[in-house]
Amino acid sequence: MAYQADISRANPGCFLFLLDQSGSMADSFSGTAGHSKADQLATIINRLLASLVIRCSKDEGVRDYFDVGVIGYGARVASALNTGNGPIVPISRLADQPLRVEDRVQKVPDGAGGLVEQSVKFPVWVDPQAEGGTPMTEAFKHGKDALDCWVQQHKTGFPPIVFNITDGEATDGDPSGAATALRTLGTEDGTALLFNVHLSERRAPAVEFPSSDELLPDSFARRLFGMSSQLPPHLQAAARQEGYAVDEGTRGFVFNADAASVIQFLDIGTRPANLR
Amino acid sequence: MEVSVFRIPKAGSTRAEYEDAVAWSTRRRRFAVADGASASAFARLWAELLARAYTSGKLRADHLQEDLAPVQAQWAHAVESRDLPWYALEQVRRGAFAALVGLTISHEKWHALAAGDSCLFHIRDGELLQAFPITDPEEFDNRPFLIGSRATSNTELTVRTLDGQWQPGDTFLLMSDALAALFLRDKRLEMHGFRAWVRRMRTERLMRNDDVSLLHLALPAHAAA
Repeated sequence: MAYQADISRANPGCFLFLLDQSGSMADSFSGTAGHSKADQLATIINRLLASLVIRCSKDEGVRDYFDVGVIGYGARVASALNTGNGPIVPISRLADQPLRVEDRVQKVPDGAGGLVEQSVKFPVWVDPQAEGGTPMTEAFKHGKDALDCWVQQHKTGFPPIVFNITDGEATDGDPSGAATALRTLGTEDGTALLFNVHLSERRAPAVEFPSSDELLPDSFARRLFGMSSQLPPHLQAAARQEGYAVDEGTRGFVFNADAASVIQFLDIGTRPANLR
Repeated sequence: MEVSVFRIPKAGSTRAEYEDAVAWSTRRRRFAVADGASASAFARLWAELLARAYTSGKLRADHLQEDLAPVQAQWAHAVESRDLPWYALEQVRRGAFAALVGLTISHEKWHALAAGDSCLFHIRDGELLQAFPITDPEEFDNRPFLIGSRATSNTELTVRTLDGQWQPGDTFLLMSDALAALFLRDKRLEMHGFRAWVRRMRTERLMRNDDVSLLHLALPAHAAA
């Protein structure tokens, strides 16, 4: 059965993030004053990367359960990380090379029904950027090139997982073909999974892991939904455990929502129900 | 009473990366297995502290939150004094998590306590009399409620207890989850060549690749235990 490979240091998984850094990302996000889609995207990607690193962090340091790449597309299509050594790097290298680590305040449950403010570390790898067109087709091709090499070297591994975070308006034609080409890449354990995270200026309710495009508010959202992979049974079960209502048609697509939960879908060991 | 203990790290991991803990005191007749959750850091230390607290009689089910406080303080003291990178600080802030199963043998009776998915089995004449706290192999999943090293994680924690009667010659097994799931499903356990058997079960994918801990307690066949 596909998508069953153990994720371990000997057999790491791979995440590739494609980030829309086009001029339209400077528009405000979902009607919120002061926050652009580019700001929102930076928050999402930095949070995703941080949860990946923390997920791999053990007593002795960060274990290389994953390889990670981040490609930005806007005025140009290029790696958005400053870690060097090609587009895809081991997670431990990412962990040690954020641009900076900020202290942010977060409200957490105090255990007695209330909330208490706590200082948390917030590493930043990607700053907001909004410039140029939206060469999404080119980004998928770039991503495919980067992953081609990875799947050759990891034939028995869990197949790559690609996140495309965008406002949906490609300016270099219909990206569906390039997305399909990317999704055909694979290992013996299955083909690459493509998740799309759609950030919109529309004040439409968030949609997470839908199984049809009925509730999606516009053609950009529907097209991104159409390009997203169906969740394989193993990940459906994990998503259900995380509290999502999923069925066989559920796709890796979220509209105006965070996607950090996807990282928890992948099994690299016990995750307590009371670890939030 | 005779105690045999096995601690086997997950395949592909080193001994130093084993995150369970097994502790016992034949004098106090207390036995414990704890299983540190792999999603947290400094979980082995937490598992060890919990198992030791139980076997030294300092963890009571009816005063759990109160009894956990000094153990949590010990964990915090040990990890907070280190100079750590941002991701480790974040793990420390969230705390470590572990499952715990403990057994106390007293005059003719036994008493057990459990939180999470580490298990106890009571066996007589080769027959499984009691499985605790999990009785159905389908109940094992990767999201158990575990004991947190931060008090704020434990507000919804429930600890289960069970009492029973023992007889001379009875056997008790305390196990971490991967082994317990296999035992509950297939009622198989090969004590002779245990390590090789575990390797085979993993290779044949009959057992999840996870740390394996086993405490085998054989009560003497004659009443003067």
